[in-house]
Amino acid sequence: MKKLKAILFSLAALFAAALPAGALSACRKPQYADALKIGALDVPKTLMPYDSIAGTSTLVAGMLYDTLLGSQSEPADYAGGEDYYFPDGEKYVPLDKKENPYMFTDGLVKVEGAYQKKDGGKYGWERYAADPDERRAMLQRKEIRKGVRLGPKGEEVFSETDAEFEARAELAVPKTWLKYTFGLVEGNTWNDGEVFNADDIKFTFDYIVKNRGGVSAISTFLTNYVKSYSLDGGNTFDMHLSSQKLSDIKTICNSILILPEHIWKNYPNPMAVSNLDNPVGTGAYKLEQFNQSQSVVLKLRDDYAFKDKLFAKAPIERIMIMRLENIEIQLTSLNKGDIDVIWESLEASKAYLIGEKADLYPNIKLSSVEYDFITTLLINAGDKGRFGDDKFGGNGRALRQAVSLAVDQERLIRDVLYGGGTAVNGGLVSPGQPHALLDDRGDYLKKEFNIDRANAILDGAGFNKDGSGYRRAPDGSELTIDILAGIYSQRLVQALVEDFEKIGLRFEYRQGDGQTSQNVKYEKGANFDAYINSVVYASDRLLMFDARYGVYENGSPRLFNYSGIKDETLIDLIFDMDYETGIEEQYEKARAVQRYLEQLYLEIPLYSPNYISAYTEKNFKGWIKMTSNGIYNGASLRFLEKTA
Amino acid sequence: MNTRYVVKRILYSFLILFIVITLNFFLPRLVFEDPAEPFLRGIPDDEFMLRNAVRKEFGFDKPVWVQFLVYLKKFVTFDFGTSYIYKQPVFKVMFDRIPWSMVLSVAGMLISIVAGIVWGATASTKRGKAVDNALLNYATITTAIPSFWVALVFVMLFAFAVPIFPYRGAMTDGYSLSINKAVFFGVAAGAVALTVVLYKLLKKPLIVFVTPLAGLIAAVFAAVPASDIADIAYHAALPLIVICLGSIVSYALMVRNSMIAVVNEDYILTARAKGLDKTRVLYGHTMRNALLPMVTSIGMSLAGIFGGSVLLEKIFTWPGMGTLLLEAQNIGDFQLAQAIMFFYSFITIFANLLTDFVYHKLDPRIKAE
Amino acid sequence: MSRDGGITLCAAGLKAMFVTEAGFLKAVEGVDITIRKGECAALVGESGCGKSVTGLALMRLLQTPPALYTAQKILFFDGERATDLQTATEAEMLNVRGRKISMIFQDPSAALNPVMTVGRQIDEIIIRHYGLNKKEARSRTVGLLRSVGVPDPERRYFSFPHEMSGGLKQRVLIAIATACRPALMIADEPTTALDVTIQAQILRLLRDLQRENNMALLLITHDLGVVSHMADSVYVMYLGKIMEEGTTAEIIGAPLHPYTQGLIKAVPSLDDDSAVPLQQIPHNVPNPMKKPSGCSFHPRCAFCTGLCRAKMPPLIEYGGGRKVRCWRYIPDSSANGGGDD
Repeated sequence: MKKLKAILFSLAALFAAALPAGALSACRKPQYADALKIGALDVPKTLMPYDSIAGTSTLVAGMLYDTLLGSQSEPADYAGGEDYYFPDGEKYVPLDKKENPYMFTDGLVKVEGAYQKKDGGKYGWERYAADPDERRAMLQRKEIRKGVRLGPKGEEVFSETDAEFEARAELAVPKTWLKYTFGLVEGNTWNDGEVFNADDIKFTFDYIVKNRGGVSAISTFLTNYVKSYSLDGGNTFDMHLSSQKLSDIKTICNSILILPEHIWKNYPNPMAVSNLDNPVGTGAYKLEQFNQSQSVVLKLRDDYAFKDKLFAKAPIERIMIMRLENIEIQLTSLNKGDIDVIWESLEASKAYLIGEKADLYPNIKLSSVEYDFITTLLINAGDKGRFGDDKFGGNGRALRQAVSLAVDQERLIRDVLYGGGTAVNGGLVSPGQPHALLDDRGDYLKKEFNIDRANAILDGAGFNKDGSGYRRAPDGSELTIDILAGIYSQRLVQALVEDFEKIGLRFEYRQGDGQTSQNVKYEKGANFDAYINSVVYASDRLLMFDARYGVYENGSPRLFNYSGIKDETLIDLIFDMDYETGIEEQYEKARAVQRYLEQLYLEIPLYSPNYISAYTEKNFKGWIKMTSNGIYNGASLRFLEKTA
Repeated sequence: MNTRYVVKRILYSFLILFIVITLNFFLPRLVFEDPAEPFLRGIPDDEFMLRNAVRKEFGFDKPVWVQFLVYLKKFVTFDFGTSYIYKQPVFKVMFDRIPWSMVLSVAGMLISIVAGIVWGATASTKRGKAVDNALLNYATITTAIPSFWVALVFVMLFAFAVPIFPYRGAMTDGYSLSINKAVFFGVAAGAVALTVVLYKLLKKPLIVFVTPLAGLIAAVFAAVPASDIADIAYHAALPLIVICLGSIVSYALMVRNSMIAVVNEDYILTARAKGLDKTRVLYGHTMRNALLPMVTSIGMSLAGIFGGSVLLEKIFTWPGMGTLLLEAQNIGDFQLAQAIMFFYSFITIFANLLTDFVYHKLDPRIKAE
Repeated sequence: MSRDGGITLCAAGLKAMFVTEAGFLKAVEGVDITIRKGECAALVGESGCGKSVTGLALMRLLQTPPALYTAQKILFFDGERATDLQTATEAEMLNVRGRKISMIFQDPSAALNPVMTVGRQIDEIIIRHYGLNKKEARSRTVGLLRSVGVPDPERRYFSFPHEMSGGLKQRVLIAIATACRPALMIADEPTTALDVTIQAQILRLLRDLQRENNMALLLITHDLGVVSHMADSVYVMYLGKIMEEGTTAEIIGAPLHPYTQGLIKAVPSLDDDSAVPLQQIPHNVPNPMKKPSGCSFHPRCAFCTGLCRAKMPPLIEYGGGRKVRCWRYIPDSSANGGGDD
């Protein structure tokens, strides 16, 4: 025993002696101490430009690669309505949203042409009649053939007449198309030194279409594209689009990362290729270090053509994204100044705590902005659900209406979000959006909240209360409604259950598991009564309308149409809206859709939680709050400066 | 224990392994309806031709038994496919992270075993005294308190409040490990060869455990520059402390109870009656018997060495394997999940086999059927 | 069975006590034992009377934290020198144990280390005391095994204890105990765990070894048959005290103490009629922690008197080396003289 003790003691002594010595020698100075540090839950696991699993992947992709119009959106309004000045001193004049339907500036790639071509203008889009050959080729590409209608498994269902075919083809591939002309500014290079020109853009688009399996998310838009070619020595790029949907165009211009031809021509199939260790892009930053799923370090390119335009103050040479998975450690680290900003939105309760106890984290500042994320209660009114219009003796809709009237959004915002949120109306578009549903006076329409009216409706529809105080169905059967939701929504569901008790309806929380999304999807069985859902507004398309309530050409409900609703009027209205090219007209048609949708009570808005960013000014100051975005965004990058 | 038994056991293990591989193939296909799903994500449901094309490209259109044969063939060549999340060969993804988990678990286990034996043995000889009581009380406390809470508290105390230790990562930010793979594998292979030779020579079964371990450590020191080792050791200190706090106690308790039981046996009396001194009695007789249960326990936990603790790795941002399986399941990375499951099964089977052999050698009472 | 004069061990006033949570357990209260060279002394008594403890105490094998023991003296005569084992240091005791005095235990299955070969266990003691290397020790061991009657000793050298029968194991233990030719062997119930036929073999072995090596044997047993076979002198113990001592012939043939008488009568004979009831000593052995007052045997004694209840009788000489502890043999026992503590 003595011998063993002696060994252990000497080991311990060695350890104790070694630790300070080791610490001193091992205490290397952290590299990149002057970098802008972002703490994130999830760091990109791969640098392939089109596969974003982590939220920060899009951030990194956007820094390494450019899109046609850059990935910068315009600086928005921030608190105080101050003026902004570009790095070269030019005062920024906000774009007229009516004039610019795409709501983006020409970004750093300096491409002109997102606007409708003005008289005498060289760049922009204009309509033209498609060549019949072109059209036929496009129809073939979209596999729209006369006489054959494909079913879900590719089998022939029936053949159609010429007129039917033409009607169908016109919808999919109209006879007049849009031609876009973009002009590229000279001098831009890839980060390995090669020259960037329109050939790369053409290559990228061809590549994506050819490899639809690999970059499928984007390729669907490009099925609308016929051909692009370069003119004028490589700096003008023409694109012919057989789609008239504004959203398609936005996606093409804003989401497609331009790939270098000289590198990617060696990778015929993106799915089978391994991670690219050295991504080559035209973006402002270059990859300096990639520690798989631990950290990513980006370095500003010396040879970036637009470096001077990028920064108002001194350039930010390095950006480091670090993984920190535990929220407590994130906050403490932020407070210390080891990181400068947390990427993800902070949970409302955490934000409230930090706000209340200012001495808990004295160096952490919070930015709370409106966001385009809407939390909703989705009611299953499809034919696989219990709450269709024809259910409950034709009173299904009345039930849904009463439920909608009973939701007290202000109280939910107060109790569940601690005040950090906005109320949203039944059109499911946030107040900040240009096409939001307005009331007669032109103000944002508020969702109606009226307990008495809800009770009256239910009484009138025959949902009578029984001895327990809860209502029964008109036929006398017991009525319990499940709300399916994940663990994090428990508080919200509790609050809802309490609200609904006021109108005598019994709601219960049903915990969703990993299979929840399967249960909810229409084709898997739509196994839910009500579901806590979320709706995100994406600026490039009016997503929740089409994906939520539309159907595919063969009649099956779209991917996110969970209940499988097939309301013909709604589908027509959406279709009408989608193909409208005048922006004001499109907004008006969007409002028409919202008005109609509101009356259906299919998806009841609960609130729109704010995006709460946590940041510190220990190392960098000049953060820009942007609506619908975190505090670290494209505009922030331009205006940040080191705290002295 | 004869050769026939050894061969039989090995064959049996292979059989189990094969069953595992087969289950590994079929079970996910029963749970997830469509194994091609990750590849088809993003392709809208109405693009049927496209979906079929992708399916065909990755071999999902073939009948199941053909897929199974392809799967087996790839297995034998260590081709576990490409990870959907990481866009890299699964093999590379896994084996970039396993060594990090091993660093913590192996070091933790070693320290816990040595310290546990010392503490347990001392406590067993001084029953009722401070050492013993401390062990018993401490055991109660550690079983009640969850390790991740302890980890968080330690990070707050020793990494933030009093900044002795770093709080994240395995190395200082911005540095990465530079390892000389040739040297590493060379020394490791040498260690394996040495094990075989030494065992044939000395016939001591514990050599099977000890020599490879020593070889591994030697390989690490040979292949990795000292500054990197110091850096990693510095970062590993806090996680190790947290790990050992719990492990030491379980080993110490086991040793203590085992020794108390053995010390009361008659053969210890015989040994003392022979006039052997205390040390000889302790090591040759008492410990030799008392530590047998621990061999089994260590063998069982061998599989855990490679896995790593998910919670601790999350808290310390340690680049280990713990979170890998979780990610694979959440996102539905089929190939990765499959490979990890197979890996764990393989390690468990192998560890069982090894422990079995060693235990047979150590305890002659076990009959080899 | 020779008495060639010369004493091997002389212990006087041996006391052993255990400290337990419930109080003190006095296992051995003042025992005097003298063993002559080459003779076999038997220590007889029922279970719980403290005879095993006596054996362990003589070799100082008790663990001292729970146990305490003292003696006036424990003189051990080895050739010319006499050592007082009572005052010897632990280092000195290490040289005595196994070499000068050895001990074998009751259950041979439990007394051998299960993970070591029997050969190595015998080697151990040889190497310890003679400093030989492994090879030399091995040849000696094989010889030893042969001498204790283990068949095929070269192969058995490599056997493990669980591969051997009870009798073989006991032979191995005897081999261990005689490896260094000790002057005294203490055998604690060596045959209790064995079959009757094996018993006879083992006993014969012990006797042969005694004769060959002129080794004294302290035989601790409760089996009077064994005693009558083997022992030269007998000590009868009850609840930690010697009740009677004398030669075998005397004790067996003409027992004095009521307890001894009871023990002898209790042994059934093969000639007994089945109609004859088994003789018992009434009641059971009391809990050693709650010893009866006075003479500790009095609750079970047919001749119990008031004096017996009140006072413990001293151990008196009865003549010719015989001793007995009973008021019946003490003249004027109504007087207050001489009680033992």
